[in-house]
Amino acid sequence: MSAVSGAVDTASPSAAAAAPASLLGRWVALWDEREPPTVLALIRIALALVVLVDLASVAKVGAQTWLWAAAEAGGISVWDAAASPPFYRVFSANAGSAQLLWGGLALSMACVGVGCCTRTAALVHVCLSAQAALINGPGDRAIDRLIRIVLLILVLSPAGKVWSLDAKWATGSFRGSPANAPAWPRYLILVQLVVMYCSAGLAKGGTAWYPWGGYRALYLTLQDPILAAADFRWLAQPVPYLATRLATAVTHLWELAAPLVLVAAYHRRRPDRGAVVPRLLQRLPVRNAYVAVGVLFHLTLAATLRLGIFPFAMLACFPAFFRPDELAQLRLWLRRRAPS
Amino acid sequence: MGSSARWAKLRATVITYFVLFSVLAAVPSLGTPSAERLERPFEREEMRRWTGLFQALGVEMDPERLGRIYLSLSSAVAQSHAVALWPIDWWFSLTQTGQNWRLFATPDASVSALRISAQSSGREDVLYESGDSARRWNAGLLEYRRIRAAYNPTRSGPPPTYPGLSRRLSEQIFGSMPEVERVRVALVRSRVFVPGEAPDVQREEEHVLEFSRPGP
Repeated sequence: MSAVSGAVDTASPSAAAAAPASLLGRWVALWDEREPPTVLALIRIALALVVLVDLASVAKVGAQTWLWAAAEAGGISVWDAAASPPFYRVFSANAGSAQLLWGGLALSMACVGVGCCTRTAALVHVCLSAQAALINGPGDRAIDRLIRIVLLILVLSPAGKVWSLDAKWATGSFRGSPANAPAWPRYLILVQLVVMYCSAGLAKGGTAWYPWGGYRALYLTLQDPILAAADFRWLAQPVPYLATRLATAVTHLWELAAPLVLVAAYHRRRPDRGAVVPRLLQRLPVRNAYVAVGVLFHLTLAATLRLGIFPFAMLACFPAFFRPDELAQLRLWLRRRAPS
Repeated sequence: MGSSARWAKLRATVITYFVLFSVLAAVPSLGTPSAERLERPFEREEMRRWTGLFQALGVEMDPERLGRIYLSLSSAVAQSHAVALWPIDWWFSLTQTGQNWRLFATPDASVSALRISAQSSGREDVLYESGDSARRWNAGLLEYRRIRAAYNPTRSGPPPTYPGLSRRLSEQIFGSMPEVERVRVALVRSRVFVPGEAPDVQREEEHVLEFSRPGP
């Protein structure tokens, strides 16, 4: 498996010994594998940067009270007194509380980013973000949910053991010690990405996503004045229109194909399998192709639609597709090519 | 069995629990349709296209029958979801981490734009309109993703935050523009031109909310 094999150890000899014995044993051994926590640290830092930029945008446009204050204090959400969000059972329903919530979100995420009390900070951010979701449901987008899920995984992970203040305090170096640590948090983030993309593909029930609806989904979305980043009426010309239809087909297939990354990874782990499809999946660069299309897809979304942090937060999780040793190779490769 | 082996098994069990239920939760529902909703133009057109597919595949089908099947199927899926997910619902609710990933699931040729107008001395000026590069009042705020979600409508109408947002916008306008007497917030519905179809230039204001300057 390209994504979850390679430079990994098994934590316990018993688990390693059990691995080849049975499916159950292999399953236990998989979640017991170890690897340097560098990929998790990279996801932690990248995600923190994206969320901080988003929170800075909230402050820049002065939207804190609009989004998270009670209606009587200038908020746009309304709730019954009996069903008020837990945050407003603790704090008074004034504009200051909304500012406090924003401050808590920003401070906890800054701590996640620099790796200061990483696990606690990530947990605090999830708690506050969940409150923000309860206060203003429509303002809580799919990407906010995904961020909470990834942060909850990071809470239980060694993501703060490298490139962090926690590492500095523990080892004397900000780099920390890249000793092997549990690999399962990275595997879980990868599984979450696959689940999300595949589910989004399956949920596309509108005929505009299918040949019998003319593959018009992207064209229609790009004509939505609330979402489009520019005037895309020119896409009605024959060649651009055809391009949007092709892009619709590719996007939908790409989402539906997400589980292939895991299937290919499984077959790469078990090279003894001789059937045609497993051999094909072992040889083809399934993961790399999937990631390349994904990067292109998200960058195109960022350029054409006003989706805020969605494409960038998704890309911040993409390192989960790679093993730490692959990441180290990439760093080495970039260093060699960097002007001295 | 050593403690590390026991720990490994316990961890694998907990992970399996969360992965299994997350995958189950991510299986898309078929929405919350009703006989009334299926009568709306978009849904009728969708039914017609799906019916065409079934007929092309040699399955005898008409839109009414497909609608009935869809209604009963979606209800069964929703019930199965509720039953299957009860062991994890508490977690999704506590952490707000449900696995519903409906992203642009049913794009529609019918689109809306937010329009904010200010009236003063019998004159009406459009301050902001989505997609209009000349009307950009407070665009930074209005186009921020969480604020956009407060007015971006679905086929069932604008979200529940729409009235609150409109009221806040009117307060801001009255506060910064002393000459404005009335503020009007509306969603302007139009139809996207689709190549191969007849153009439809009609634009219709919906969900109009009007605010008068509060007395001194």
